[in-house]
Amino acid sequence: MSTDSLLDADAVAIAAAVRARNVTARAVAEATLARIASRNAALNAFTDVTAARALDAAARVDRILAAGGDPGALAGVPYAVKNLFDISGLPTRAGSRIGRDNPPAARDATAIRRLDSAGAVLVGALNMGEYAYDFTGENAHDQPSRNPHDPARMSGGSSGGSGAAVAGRLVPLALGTDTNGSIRVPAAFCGVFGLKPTYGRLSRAGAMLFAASLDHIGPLARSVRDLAAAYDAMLGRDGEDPAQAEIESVPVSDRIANASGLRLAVASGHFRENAAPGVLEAVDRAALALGVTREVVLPEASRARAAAFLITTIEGGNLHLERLRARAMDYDPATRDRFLAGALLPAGWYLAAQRFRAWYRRAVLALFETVDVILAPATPLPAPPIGTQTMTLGGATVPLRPNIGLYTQPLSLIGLPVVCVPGGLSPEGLPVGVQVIAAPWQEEKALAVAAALEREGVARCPEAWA
Amino acid sequence: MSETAPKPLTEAEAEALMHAAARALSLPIPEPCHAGTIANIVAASTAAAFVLSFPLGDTDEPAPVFRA
Repeated sequence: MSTDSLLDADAVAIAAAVRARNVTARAVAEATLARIASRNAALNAFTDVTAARALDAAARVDRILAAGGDPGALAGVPYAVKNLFDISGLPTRAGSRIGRDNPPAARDATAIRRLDSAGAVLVGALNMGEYAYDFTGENAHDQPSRNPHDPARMSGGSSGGSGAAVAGRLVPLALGTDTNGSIRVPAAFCGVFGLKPTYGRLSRAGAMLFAASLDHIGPLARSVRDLAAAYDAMLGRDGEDPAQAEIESVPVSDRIANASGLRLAVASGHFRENAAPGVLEAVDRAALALGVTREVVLPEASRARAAAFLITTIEGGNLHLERLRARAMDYDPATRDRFLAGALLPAGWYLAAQRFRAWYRRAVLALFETVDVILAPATPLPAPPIGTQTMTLGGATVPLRPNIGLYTQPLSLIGLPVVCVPGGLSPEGLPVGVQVIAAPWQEEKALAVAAALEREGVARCPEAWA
Repeated sequence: MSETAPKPLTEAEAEALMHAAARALSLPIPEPCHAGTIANIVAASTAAAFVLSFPLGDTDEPAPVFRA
C-alpha cells in the first residue's frame, strides 16, 4: 500500500502502520500535505496549513519510535481543527474577519495539546461559519467550504471545513464544535461520523465560545473507532474549562464492541415530522438492522428547540457585545443581524428558556430510565445547494439556516451525547445522517450502537468524488 | 398552557424594542442592519412566546450553568 493510499484508511489504521514502522510519520505527513495541496482548492476546507509544525511533530514521533518508545495511540495520525481552536502562533479567526486581527495564540487549545500528546500530527486549521453561528458552512470572508459529494452543495455548519476535510480524505480526523448541531450537521451532509460528547465532558479551553452553556467540542472521522480513539485522547480534567464536570474519565475504545443488551428505540413525534425524502428511511434502515421496533417521544421537543434558539442568540449576542459596538459592519452579513438582535433581547425570555430547559432535562432523563439509546434523523434534508435561502417545512416555505437544526437542537439543549452516523443516501444520491443518542455520560453506549451499525454495513462513509 | 403568555411581537413593536434596548446597552445598530435586526427580534419573540406559554412551577429553577 502506498503512503498516499494509506490516507484513505482510518486514523487507527494509520497509527497502527506508523507504530509498526511500516511507514514513517514523516512520510504520512508529507503525503497529507501533498493531498491537501492537490485537493483543497476544490473544497476550500483549510484556511491554514501548518506544514512546518506537522513535519516537526511527525519527526518527533519517528524519533520516539526509533528509540523504542511509545508515541501514543494516534501516532502519526494527521488531523486538523476548526479555526476557532487556538493554534500556537496563529490568530484564532473563528471564521471571522475580526479574529484575524487578533495577536497569534500563545499556546494550543487543550484538545490540541492532548491529541499531540497521543502522537497525532496537526496539519492545519479549517474553514467554518463565522463565530459558529451557522448550519451551512458558508462564510463571506473565506468563502464556503464545499461538500465532497457535490462541491456545489453545502458542507454543513458550522464545522463545515471539518466535514469536508474528512469526507474528502484530506485528513482522517478533524475537530469541530457543536452548540446546536455544528458537528452533527456537517457530519450528516458530508457523510462522515461525528461525536458530540456530553456537555461538560471534554475541555473547551482554548476554543472560542459561541453560546457558553451549549458549547461542546468533538471529533469527526471516517470510522467509529476513530471517534473513540480521539475522544479517549482528549479525556481528562482541565481546570481551565469552568463548564467541565467533575466526573470520572473512562476511555471507551475497548468498551464499544458489544451493543447487545442495550434497550433501543426510535424517536417519534417531532423527529418523524417534516423530513425530506430519504431522511426517515435512513433511520428506519438503522432500526431494522438492529431489530428496533419500539418508539419513544421526547416530550416538548419542539419547544426545546425554541428554548435552544433563545439561549443561543442571547448568550451569543452578549458574548459579542463589545465587538458589535466597535465593528458590527465587519461581521459576516449572515451572522451580524442575528448577533445584534440577540444582544437586545429581554432577560425574561432568557430565564424562561433556561427554566424550561431544566424541566425538559428532567423529563428526558426520566425517559432514559426505560431506554438506553435512541435513534433519530440528523437533518431534515440532505445538503442543499450553496446559497439556498429557504426550505419547505410542513408545507410552508421557511428560512433554511435556522431550520437545518430541527432535529439536533432539542438534544444539545440538554447536553446529551450523540454520535451522528452516515446512514445511506437520499434519492438524489446525497448522504443522510442518523443520530445515535444516549443519556448524559453514556458516550460508550452511543458509540457501541454506532459501531454495531457500522458492522452491519448500515453506517458507512459513502465514496466522495474527491 | 398559560393564557397570559405573550404574543409574538409585531415589526413595529420589535423596532421599538430594538431602539430602547440598544440605548440601554449603548449598542449602536447600524442603519443597514435595522431591518435584519428587527426580523430576528420578531423571530425570537415567536420562540419566546412558545417557551413562555409552557406552565412552569416555582421549583423550576433555571438550568445550572454556574457552580460555586
